Amino acid sequence: MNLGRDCSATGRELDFVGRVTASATHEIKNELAVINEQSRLVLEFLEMAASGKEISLERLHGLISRVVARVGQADAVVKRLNVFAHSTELERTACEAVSLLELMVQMFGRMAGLKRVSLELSQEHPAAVELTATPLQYEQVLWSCMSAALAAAQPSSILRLHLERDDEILRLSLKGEMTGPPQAPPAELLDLLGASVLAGPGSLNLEIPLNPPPEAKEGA
Amino acid sequence: MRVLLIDDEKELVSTLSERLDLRGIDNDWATSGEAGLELIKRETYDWVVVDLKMPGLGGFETIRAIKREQPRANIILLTGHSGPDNLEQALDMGADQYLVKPVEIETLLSLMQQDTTEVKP
Repeated sequence: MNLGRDCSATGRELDFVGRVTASATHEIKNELAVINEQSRLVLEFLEMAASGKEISLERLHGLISRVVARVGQADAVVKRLNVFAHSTELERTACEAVSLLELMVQMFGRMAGLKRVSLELSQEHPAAVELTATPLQYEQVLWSCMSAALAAAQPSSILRLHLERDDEILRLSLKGEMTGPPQAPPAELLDLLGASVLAGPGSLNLEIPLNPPPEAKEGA
Repeated sequence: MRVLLIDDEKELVSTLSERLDLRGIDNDWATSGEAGLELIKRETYDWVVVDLKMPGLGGFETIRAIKREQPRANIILLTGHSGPDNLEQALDMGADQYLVKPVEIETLLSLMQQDTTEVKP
């Protein structure tokens, strides 16, 4: 991790990268399992056809179309995992907050799905916002906020995320039906970005200064 | 032999069901632990194949509930990744076998052809 600048990684960073990677590889494995079943069924149909049995071309076409679609879905997961993996290499500099939020929301989708919670990221957000942080720190804070909101969310509910920029502050709100106020992420994690969290009934609000004060240090 | 397949991935479970159909094996499928239990309450199965990671009622909870409803049903736990903890927990919960995806149907059938009646209460 961060091999271009620093080979050290904290236990918290390793834990985070491990969790994200495990979740993404589980998604890929799932896609491969479906592709495996469908392509083997295609083979079985072809073997039946070769032995003179009548098979439905429409059914065969449907199966192969689904294989193609699932390959596309697996590829999308691999691309996200690749972007995430490369984000660990980047130094503390201006990182693009909106695209990384979109990435983390997509990667968190499986976790939310296990609780039948849907994530809805509002499309009314700034086109791009530059934040002074390492992408990994920012991603950790986002994941931690989503995890906290999900833990408090009612099963089978919707968690709505809205990002806005207010002058030099980036604000992310997570709102939904919750059983109680979400637990705020650890202070030492928020301190990396000079960020703060306000958690209330049904919401968690994250504020990050675009240019954090000097005490918010990398690896603090 | 009658089989129930439970997995939240509809395309996987329906395709596996079709492959069992081709082999003349009577089977039903469900896409959640809850839906699987509804079937278990109405029908009798020799084998139940259950996915570990499912939204709502997960694999372990589903196995526990199946054991309450049909103690004689043989259970195979399906998982995306192997792990000794999962295996041990699955066996503790009453699963008879453990398979890692992707499923080799011949392996699945060979497990199902084993006579487990001697070890059943």
